[in-house]
Amino acid sequence: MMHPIFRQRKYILNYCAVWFAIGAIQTSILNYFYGFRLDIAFADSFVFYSLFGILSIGLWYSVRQNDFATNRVTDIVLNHLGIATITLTAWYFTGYYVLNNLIKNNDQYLTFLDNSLPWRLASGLFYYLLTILFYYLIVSFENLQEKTEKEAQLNTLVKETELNMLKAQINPHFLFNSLNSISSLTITNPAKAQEMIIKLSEFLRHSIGHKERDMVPFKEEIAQIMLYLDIEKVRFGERLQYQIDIDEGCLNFPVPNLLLQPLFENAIKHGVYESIEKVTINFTGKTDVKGVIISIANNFDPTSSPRKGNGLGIKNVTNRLKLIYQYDDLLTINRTENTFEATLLLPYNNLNNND
Amino acid sequence: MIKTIIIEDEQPARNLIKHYLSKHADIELLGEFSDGFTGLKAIQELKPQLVFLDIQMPKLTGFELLELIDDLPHIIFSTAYDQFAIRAFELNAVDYLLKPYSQDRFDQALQKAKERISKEKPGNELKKLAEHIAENNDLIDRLVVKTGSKIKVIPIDQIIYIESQDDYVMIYTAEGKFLKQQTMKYLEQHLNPSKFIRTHRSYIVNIDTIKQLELYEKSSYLATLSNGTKLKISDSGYKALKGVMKF
Repeated sequence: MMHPIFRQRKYILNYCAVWFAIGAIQTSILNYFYGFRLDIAFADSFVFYSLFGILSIGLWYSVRQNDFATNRVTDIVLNHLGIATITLTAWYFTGYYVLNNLIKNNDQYLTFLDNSLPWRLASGLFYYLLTILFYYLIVSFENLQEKTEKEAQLNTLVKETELNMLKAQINPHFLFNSLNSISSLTITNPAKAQEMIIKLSEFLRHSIGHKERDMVPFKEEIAQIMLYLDIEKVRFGERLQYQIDIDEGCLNFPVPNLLLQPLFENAIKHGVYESIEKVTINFTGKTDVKGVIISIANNFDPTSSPRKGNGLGIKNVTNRLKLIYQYDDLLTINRTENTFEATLLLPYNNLNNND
Repeated sequence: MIKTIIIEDEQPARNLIKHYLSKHADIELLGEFSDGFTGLKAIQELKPQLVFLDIQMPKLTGFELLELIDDLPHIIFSTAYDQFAIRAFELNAVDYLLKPYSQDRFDQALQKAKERISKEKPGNELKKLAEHIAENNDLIDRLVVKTGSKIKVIPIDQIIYIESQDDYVMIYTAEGKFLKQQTMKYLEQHLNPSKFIRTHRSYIVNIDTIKQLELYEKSSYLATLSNGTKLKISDSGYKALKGVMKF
């Protein structure tokens, strides 16, 4: 840690100004109460306080050495007693020597100088304590700052890691089933197989390649979802239907990248997987006073099992929304006898900057 | 000719199997079925020798379907889920094809099936094995039973209690009782242990349905369930209940 006085020029000036002010007070006292000539009073104050000012710069290092985190209090007190004794002795005798040689023809002052030891030591000790107190305050303040900074850094790190974990992981079964469909189409309908390979590639390019991006325009997210649904439609045929209704106004609204994917995966898993009837996924997006409202709804076969998922998809989306927007009630689930609807509110403001 | 059916819910996947099968003149394809119910019916009525079976399907999974069949045909699983392979082989499946697979890999599986069929091993040894697939299995969330010609899927939270009856169990729900070929040990291990307690050698009880526990004779207890049934509780059953219900 650099010496606090030397960090900026204005700190050096302030430091000098403080000692100069103290010196000025003593000059006036010596002049007014003791009747010394102004030049003598000034010389005395200037010599002693500039000396003290220079010596106390070094005290910073003793404070740094004697921090409360690694030393016992008794050790600190003893160390400072020792340092104070040396500093004050050196201070007094240097000052005495300089002034004794500087002012030779004033007996009244020299007697005063000879007798000044007790109160100079007392005031010196006072300034010593004041100086180290000041340095200790700086140290603890800086430690606190460092700590908060580190905590903030750690928080960002944790958040980033969490976000990366939460971003849609590509479901391997989706991938292998799609590849199996392509394998089949190469025989029955090569043109469609090619189309599907292209769609799957685009889907993967976006899912794998753009994970580092946090926010994307809603229309990009929609395009990604369309690819996903088109690919699944090849597998499930008539069983999977979808309707999309998005307000023009929210097409450029920034949404968390790949946020909706787990909700569509859920709709397919709990709707289409378990039903032999048609399952329709309704995907809507509209602007509202508070933000953009996105809804993903599907019907499901109520007679099919109550097969529970692990709830990971919904939990992931909730956690991600919480990390990004700092609210934990942005995703609401509405379940009826045979429909399931996930509604998200993406607020206009409070966008935490994750980039 | 080997009588064969396909049970698979995705059209493209069925097409691929049909295409691979078309290279084999000794296969007679009796039909293709797109969900567990129709597949089950087809096995019972058409009595195929060989079945290509998907696992993840609507209505009944491939495994649930097999539980309901007495005379098991030879099974080749075809799925994208690799985590069921161990279970499939414990069921004595002929082979386990991981999607997507090649014609070569498919032919290899079919060759194994042909060898088994020519030796005409009774498929029923699967059934016994099915009872033993235990430890490596997750908790189940539904039970499938046959009632006459109908298949009933019972979500486990609708079960009130289960009573042991030799090789079978009787499952009691608010709708009635259902017989199933299953062991108490299997159910004890595969039903959620914080909900289902073996309160007696002959009973497993859903603790949510317990209305009342009362002292019966000197030292044993009697549980009253939501349908009014009163069941005896053994000492060890009482201890287990105490542990889970925390009284």
